[in-house]
Amino acid sequence: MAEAGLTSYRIACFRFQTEKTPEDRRGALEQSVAEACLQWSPQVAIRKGEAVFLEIGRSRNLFTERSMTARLMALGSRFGLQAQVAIENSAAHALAMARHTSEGGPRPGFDSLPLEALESFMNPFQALTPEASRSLRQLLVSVQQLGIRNMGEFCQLPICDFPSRFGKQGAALISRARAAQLVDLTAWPGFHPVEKISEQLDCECENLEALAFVLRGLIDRAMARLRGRNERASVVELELEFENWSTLKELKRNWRIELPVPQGSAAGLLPILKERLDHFFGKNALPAPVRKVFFNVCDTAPGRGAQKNFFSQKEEEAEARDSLIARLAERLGSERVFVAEKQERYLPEKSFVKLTGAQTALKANSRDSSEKGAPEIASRPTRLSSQPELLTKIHKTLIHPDGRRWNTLRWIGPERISGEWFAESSFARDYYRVVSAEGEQLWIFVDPSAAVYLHGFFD
Amino acid sequence: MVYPNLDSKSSAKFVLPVGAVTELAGPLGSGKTEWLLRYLAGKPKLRVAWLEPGSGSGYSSFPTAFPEYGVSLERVLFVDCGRQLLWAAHQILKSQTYEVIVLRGDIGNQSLLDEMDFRRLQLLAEKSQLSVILLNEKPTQKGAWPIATQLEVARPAVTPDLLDFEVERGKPGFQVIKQRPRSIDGAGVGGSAAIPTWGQKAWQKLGLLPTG
Repeated sequence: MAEAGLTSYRIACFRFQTEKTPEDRRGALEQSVAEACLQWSPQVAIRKGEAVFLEIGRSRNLFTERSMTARLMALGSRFGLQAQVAIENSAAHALAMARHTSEGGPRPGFDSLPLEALESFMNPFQALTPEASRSLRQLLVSVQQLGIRNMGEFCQLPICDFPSRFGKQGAALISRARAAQLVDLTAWPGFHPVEKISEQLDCECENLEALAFVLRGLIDRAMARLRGRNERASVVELELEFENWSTLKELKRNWRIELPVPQGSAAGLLPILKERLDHFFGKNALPAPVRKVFFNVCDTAPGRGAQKNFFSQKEEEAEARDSLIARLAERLGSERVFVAEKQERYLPEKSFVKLTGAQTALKANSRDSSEKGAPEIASRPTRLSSQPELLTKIHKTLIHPDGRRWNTLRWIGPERISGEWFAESSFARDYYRVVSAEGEQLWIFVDPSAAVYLHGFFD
Repeated sequence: MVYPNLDSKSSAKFVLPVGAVTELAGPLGSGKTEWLLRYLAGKPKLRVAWLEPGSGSGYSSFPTAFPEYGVSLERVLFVDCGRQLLWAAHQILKSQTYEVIVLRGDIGNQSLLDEMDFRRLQLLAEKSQLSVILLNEKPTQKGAWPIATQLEVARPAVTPDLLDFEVERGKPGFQVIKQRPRSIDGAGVGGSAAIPTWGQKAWQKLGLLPTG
C-alpha cells in the first residue's frame, strides 16, 4: 500500500529564466509564481532563482498533465517569464528534464540526458554548495573516464562498486538517480507565502488608457496569487509614481479602496479602479507620465473555495455579479444597492432589511431554488411610501395635498396592525384596500385619531 | 382574506420580447407592477435588477410584497440610482448577469429618460439580448420610437380582478408584429382566459398569443 501511495506522486517542475528581471525583484517574483501555483496544489516548493515544484499526483482527477503544462506555461507568460515545464515522478527527475528540454524541441528521454543532469539529483531544491559542486565535478570526470556518456549508462553501473570508487556521496547519488525514475524520496522544504501581496511595475504611461493596460497585467498577477491562497481582495491600494516634473507638487499619489464586495478576478477589479481613476482625474490628462505603479492587496476575504466546474458557468457568473454589485456600490453608495430580506416586524415600512455590500453578493449568488408559487391573495401593496401622506376625506372622496382626488367605490378591510407599544415608534393602524372609481387600488390606513393616510399602491 | 386579485396564472403565460425595451404604463395603483411580478413569478429562472430613481421619488417598490406575488427576494437586486439611472442600467446590461431590468422611467409627470436614453437602452438591450421593462405612470409620447412594445395597463373598477391592456404602439413597421419575439426562457407562448377579449385580440395582433 505504501508503495502504491508513493508511486502516485507526480511532480511538475516549472523552470524559468529570470535574467531579464532586476536582481532585487527576483525573490519576489519567485514567491509570486509559487503563490499562484498554490491554486493547483498545496505542496509547492521553490528552488531559488530557478524553479518552482508542484506535486500534482493527488489532483490527477482535476487536471491532466497536458492541461497542467498548458496552465503553467500560461502562468509564465502572465508573469512575463520564459519557462520550461516537465512532469515526472520526482522533483530531481523533473528538474533534470526541464533543464535539458529545449523550447519547441523534442523531449529527451531520461537515458539520453547528459551526465551534468546529476546535479539535479544532489538536491533539487537547493543550489550546490561550492564543496558539493567540487566533489560532483570530480565524480563526473571519473565517470567520464570510464566511458560513461549519459544518464542511462550511469544508472546501469553496478551500485556495489560505488562506495569504494566514489565514496558515500557517489553511492547516494546513483541510488537517488535510479530511484528518482520511480518515486520521489526527497524531503520537500515547506513554502509559506508572504503575508502581504504586493506588485509593482515600471512603465511609461502618458494617459489613463495606457495606465489601464498596465494595471490589467499587474492586477492579474496579484489575483493569480490570491487565487492560490483561495482568497479574494477586499481592500486594495493603488499607488502611482509620476515623472519628476517641476509642475508637480507630489510625485506619488495613492488610493486605498475598500471594495464593497471582495473581488477575485482582474476582470472584476479593473473596472472599479478605472472608475476611481476616471473620477479622480476627470477629463484632465494625467499630471505627468506615470513611471511606476504599485498595487497592494491590504486585506482579503475567503475565496469561493470550490474547484472549478468545467460544465457550468456559475462561478464566472458569480464573479461577474460580484463585480457589478461592487461597481454599482462604489458609484452609488453601498446602502443603495441591496438585496432585500423579510424580517418579523409588524410595521410595514420596517418589514424588510436591506442586505448591502458583501451580504448582497452572497445573497444574490445563493438563489433559493425552492421558490414557492404565488398565493392567490396578496395583502401587501407593491409600492410603499416611507412616509405616509395625510389625506383629506370628504364623503367618499379622498384628496391628496398635491390636489389628486380619488372617488372611492369600495373599502376592503380593515386589517388591524399595531405594535411596538414599548417604544416611541408604537403604532395602531387600520389598513384598508381602497378601490377608486378609476380602478386604482390604494393602501390606506386610519389611525386612532381617525386621520386617513395614504401609505401605498397596489400598483 | 377578502382582497380580490389577479388571476395568478394569466400573466405567467405571456412572454415579453427579449433584446428590446417594453413599456408598461398606467397610473399608480393600476396594477402594472402586480402584473409584472406575476409574470416574473412564472419565470423563476430569471434574475431581476429593479432600478428605482431613489428614496426621494415618493412611492418606491415594496420588497415585502414580492414573495406574496411569487417572486423570491434572492433573485431581485434593488438599486436606488438617483440621477444615475441610465448609467446603472448600462452597467447591468453590460454585465449580462440579470436577464430582466426593470426601470421606473418617470416620477409623476416628470420623465426621467428622453429619446436618446431610450435609444441607448434599446441598443444595449439588443446587444445583450436582455429584456428592459419600463414602468411609467404615463405612456411615453414623444421620442418613444425605440420602445418596441408599449402597453397601457388599466384596472376597471367594476372588475378589479382583471387587467385591461391597451396597446399603444401598433403603427406600420412595429417590430413585434413582423417578428414573433423569442421568449425569455425559451418557453412557448400561451393564452389566457383572464384577459378581456379586446386585450386578447391585441396580444394576438402582437404575436404574443396564438391565434384561433
